[in-house]
Amino acid sequence: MQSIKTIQLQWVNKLFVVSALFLLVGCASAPTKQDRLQEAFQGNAAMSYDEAANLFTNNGGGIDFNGKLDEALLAGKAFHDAGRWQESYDAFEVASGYLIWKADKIDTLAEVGSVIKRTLLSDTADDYRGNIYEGVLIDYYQALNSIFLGDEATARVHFNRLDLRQSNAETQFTQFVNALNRVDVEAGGNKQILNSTLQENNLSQGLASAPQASPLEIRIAAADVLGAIFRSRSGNAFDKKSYKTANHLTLAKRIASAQNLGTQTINELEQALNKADQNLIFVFYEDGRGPSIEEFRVDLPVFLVSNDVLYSGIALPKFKRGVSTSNKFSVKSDTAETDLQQISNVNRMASLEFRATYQKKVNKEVLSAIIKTIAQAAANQAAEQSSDDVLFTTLFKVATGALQYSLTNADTRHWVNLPDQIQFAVINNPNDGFVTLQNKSNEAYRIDIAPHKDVILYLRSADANRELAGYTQQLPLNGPGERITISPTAN
Amino acid sequence: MKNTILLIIGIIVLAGCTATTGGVTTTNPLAGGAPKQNINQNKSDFASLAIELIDIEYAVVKAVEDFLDETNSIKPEGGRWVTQLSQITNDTPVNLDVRTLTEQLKRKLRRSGRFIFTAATGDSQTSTLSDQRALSESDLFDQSTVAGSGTVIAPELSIEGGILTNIVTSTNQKKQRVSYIFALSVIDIDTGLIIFDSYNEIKKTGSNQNFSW
Repeated sequence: MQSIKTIQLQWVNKLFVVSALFLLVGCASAPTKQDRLQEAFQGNAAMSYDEAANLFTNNGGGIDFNGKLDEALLAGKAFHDAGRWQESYDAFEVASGYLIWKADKIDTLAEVGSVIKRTLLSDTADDYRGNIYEGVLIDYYQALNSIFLGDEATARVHFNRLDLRQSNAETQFTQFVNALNRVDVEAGGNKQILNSTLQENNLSQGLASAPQASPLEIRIAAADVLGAIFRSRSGNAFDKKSYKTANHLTLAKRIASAQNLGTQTINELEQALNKADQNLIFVFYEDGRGPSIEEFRVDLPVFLVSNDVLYSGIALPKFKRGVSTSNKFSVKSDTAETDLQQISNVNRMASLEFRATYQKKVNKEVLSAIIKTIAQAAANQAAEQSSDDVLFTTLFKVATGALQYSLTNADTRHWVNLPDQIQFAVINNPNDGFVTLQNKSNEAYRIDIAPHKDVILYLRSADANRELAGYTQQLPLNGPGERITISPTAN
Repeated sequence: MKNTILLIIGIIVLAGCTATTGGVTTTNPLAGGAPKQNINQNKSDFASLAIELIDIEYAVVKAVEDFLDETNSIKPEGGRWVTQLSQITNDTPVNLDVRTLTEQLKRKLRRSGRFIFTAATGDSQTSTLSDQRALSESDLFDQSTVAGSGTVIAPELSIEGGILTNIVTSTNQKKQRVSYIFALSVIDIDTGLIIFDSYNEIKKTGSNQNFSW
């Protein structure tokens, strides 16, 4: 017969085990900066671009982020939207270091270990790896940062990198898809345990909002438009002699056509650039909030068919399209008016890799669920065999079920502060010092423009709750760009 | 017998294990300490696909040697050419400080005794000259010691150029070849004629795993 002390000790041990399991379940992570940005962008309270950028600064004013790719991307774009070009440049340089890879094969031990870790736990167990299109966008924004810093030499370097990334991106994406098709995530005979139940659920809902795009759309027409303008209006004879302006315009038209966007504005740009003696205003407008990833779960009532397992399920990512503002702008001078037209759709660019990896993610999550469920059943059986205490075994099963639930989550990390789309227009500089930005809702904004110069007018509006931010920069570059105050004109 | 077979297998396995240093093959004869006669396939553990200082050194040496071999590098009436260094443009994806190239170029040409460079115009232009002229309006300075007007010598030649890149990947996407082209022109400012131009290329071949910068 056991002594009272022994019985007490056994209960302490059981309570310790159950408590530890619940503690693991309860270890929820603190909201990330992505969570805060997403909440701010989607909430009613307007967070200004400066306030969003300050999420990534410390009290001393220095850049403060975890140095990993996901935060570096968010930080870079947040500083960029706020017109803090140098901080944006520094953050994107960190991000660029993570996206230097061109190949997409699993051929090192570290990568194999990473795949195993992600299969057994979830994708969030590993550092954010990044996507091909993000590499393209980094150099696009770095080129813009350099332009607004007035650094023509560095801008040229980034335009060259952008050319290489874009031309490589199509090939890299095709290789990526081929590599995925060679990886066969099979669950073996155990697949039968969950497969029939899973098939009854609509697992393809993760793709419902993801547009189908062609591999060419991993390129971004706005980058080629900007590249053509830079080369054509550069202060360097080397740029003017190069063939690159014509190449950029040809590519921009191809990409815009692939996205079913009009090429009229790009044709107008081509004609305008050929007039060497005419000063021009090049208007780039980033509209809306870009795509994001949500989680959807399929939880299976396994407890109805088995006493050994209380919970099983999978969590999958769901593509959520971006949201455009209702702004429909045109640019007016005293003699001309032209509408801004969409030249790049970020949703289509981002959906390519999402769609390509989705089926593998589903297969992987099924495998992961099976492994975890088997482990849960084994642990519960071991607990039942080690103790006759019904209360303990019940608590233990609840805890292991809750633990599996908490370990079942989809990777929703995403570059959430991208725009939904990029619009463009070109108009002659009226040389009287200003143009008017006219919204179809009859709001009008006066924008001061340096006369007798070529000028880039760069605008950003994330949503109706946020200010319309604007910046100008003269070409050829001769000093940093300027933040402009965009004020409504009196009717 | 068993030991012999094991030994043979071991040797075959070891033979198959080639040391993959991940090294880059470059056509720069100065890279990796390789013998100068072996100019086409110098493999170096230290070389990278990006431009290195040793590549700039090679390009400068080659361009200067080629120019000095030309009769146009000798001023017909004797003396030294007054030369302006105009823009050398970096049109590559590598963040490169072109001053390393321009300073080496100026130094090697100056040491040949045929050239002297001006700081009054071009990329080497300094504000010192105009700042000093402003002293002629100051009562503080002894005007006989202040640099006078009409004394600066205008350049006769202008050197300009750029660095370009061309990248080709192999059919199986495993290798990439990055070519860096150093293009220089020397222009007679008086006549507008290009009296010399050079085009030196360094090719580097390496893994296509990462971008070359």
